[in-house]
Amino acid sequence: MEKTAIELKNVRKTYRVGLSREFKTAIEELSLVVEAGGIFGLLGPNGAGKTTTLKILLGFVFPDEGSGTMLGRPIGDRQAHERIGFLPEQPYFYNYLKAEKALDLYGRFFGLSRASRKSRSGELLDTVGLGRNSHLTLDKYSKGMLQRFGIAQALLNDPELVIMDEPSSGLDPIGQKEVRDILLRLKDQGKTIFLSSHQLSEVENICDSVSIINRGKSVMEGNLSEILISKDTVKIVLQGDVTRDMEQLKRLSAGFEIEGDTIKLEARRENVYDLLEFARKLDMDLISSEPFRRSLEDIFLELVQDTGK
Amino acid sequence: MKNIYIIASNVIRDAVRQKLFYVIFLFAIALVAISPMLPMLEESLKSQILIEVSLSVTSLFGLILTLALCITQITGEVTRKTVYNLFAKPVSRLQYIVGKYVGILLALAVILMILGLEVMVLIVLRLGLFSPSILLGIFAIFLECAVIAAFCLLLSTFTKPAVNAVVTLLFYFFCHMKSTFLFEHINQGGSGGPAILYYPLYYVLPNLENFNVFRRIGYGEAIPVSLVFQLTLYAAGFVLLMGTTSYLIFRRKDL
Ligand SMILES: Nc1ncnc2c1ncn2[C@@H]1O[C@H](COP(=O)(O)OP(=O)(O)OP(=O)(O)O)[C@@H](O)[C@H]1O
Ligand SMILES: [Mg+2]
Repeated sequence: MEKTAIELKNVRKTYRVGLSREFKTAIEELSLVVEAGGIFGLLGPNGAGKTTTLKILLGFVFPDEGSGTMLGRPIGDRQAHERIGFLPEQPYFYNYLKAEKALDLYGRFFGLSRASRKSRSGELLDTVGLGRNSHLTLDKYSKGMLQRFGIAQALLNDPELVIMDEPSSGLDPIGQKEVRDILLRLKDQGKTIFLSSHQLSEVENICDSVSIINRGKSVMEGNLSEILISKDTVKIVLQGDVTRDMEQLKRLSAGFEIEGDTIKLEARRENVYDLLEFARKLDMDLISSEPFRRSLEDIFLELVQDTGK
Repeated sequence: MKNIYIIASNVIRDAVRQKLFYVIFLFAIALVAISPMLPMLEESLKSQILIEVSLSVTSLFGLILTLALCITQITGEVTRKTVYNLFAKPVSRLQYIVGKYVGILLALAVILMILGLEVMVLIVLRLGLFSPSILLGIFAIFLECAVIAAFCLLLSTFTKPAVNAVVTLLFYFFCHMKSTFLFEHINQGGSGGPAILYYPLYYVLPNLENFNVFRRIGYGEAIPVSLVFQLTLYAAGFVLLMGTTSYLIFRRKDL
């Protein structure tokens, strides 16, 4: 298996608006590397260019500039498509087919035998919780059910690389948890998952790496824990007599908050020892000290607002 | 090959679902409807006219059927967004177009064959005449439909169904008037109408009137094998040309 699952280099994409000479830039300049194994999240606000990025990868739309590879093969290569699964943003299928028939049809494109198509589709429909509805035609499915079906068809060929455009869109909380479990299981099996999302809590829970894009440009990327855990800020919790003079403590810390006899503060790493020294002089107990962890939401909002101007 | 087969069989499944095969019954009704005019005809003309008229009606049904089969094919799937799931699978755009076209041809072949048999039965019942040459007429209709289908499928790579239907009908009429209306217009030099428009039409469009062998079959004239062969080549040439154009348009189209 290739070390790099997906690579995009200096991709640019503009859409022509109708028949006019007017163009709309969807991707201004984007490079991306997704290592094999693990879950990679592509984040960004509405209209950032997430879906367009996935469409470029799958060869649905053609970039004006730039190039890319998927599973070591150039974009649009059919052999790569044998080994991937894709969930589109809007789950539209041949809606006159029953779920099991539709899976059977898609399975034929992968050259699966009749028997394996049958067993595989039964298995997958159970996995996504549609086992009891497999005999219904897809036009009788609710939005969430279609989304579940979409996930099932994306996994038909036991793909090495799964690409999903907002996998939990339209799903209830149980469905969202089920999808999360499916994705984590795939990761355990050594697969690569590339998903787009703006459900930040979901991403925060399952992704190993992320790339945040806004207005068709990457604004941050990297390992998620490295992004979230601040290297130079420490969160400290103290306990003691809060009526004493704490000017020194306040001066050395960024955030400062008193709750009963507990003091929560954030300090820059180089100030930690001085701060603890003062705390000891004030007879305070050190309850905990840990690296400061920001929420993905904070980072996201900050970046998107900054680059949105 | 496998993918072409899957896509083609899906076209047929879709045709069945849309109840296109019901035209078989409609056609039978149409045939029964033209029968009452028989007693008005002279005895010697009966078979001629009955065969010619029923083949013309078949040809009309072929046109409608072709339109129904083709206009929604590609644009329909693009606007319904079902193409995404398809092209995420190892399916190429060439396979897609060829598969669609093959499916359309198969559906046309099956339905036209049945319509042809219906015409034969009608002739046997009404005139006690067994005339297998009707099947040659059906084959000519099939070839004509194949050309129209290729044109319609080409349009469906970039137009909406309603526009497609109108343009394909125009195509049909101009192609049938090539040796009459268009020919006169470019040869009588400016007897009304913009020649600039008619010249390219005259030289580019296929002459669909070539496929109209109904009168000859009606008169019981033998249709030489060479003519059948020529017509097949003529149709195949245009199909290939339009098929290639469809692929060139669709190959790099943003979906
Ligand atoms: N076919 C198209 N023609 C013109 N503009 C388009 C087309 N498709 C997308 N765009 C534009 O490209 C930009 C990016 O769209 P895209 O669908 O990639 O966003 P997204 O990040 O997936 O958003 P969302 O979170 O809402 O799904 C948008 O400004 C959109 O208007
Ligand atoms: Mg999107």
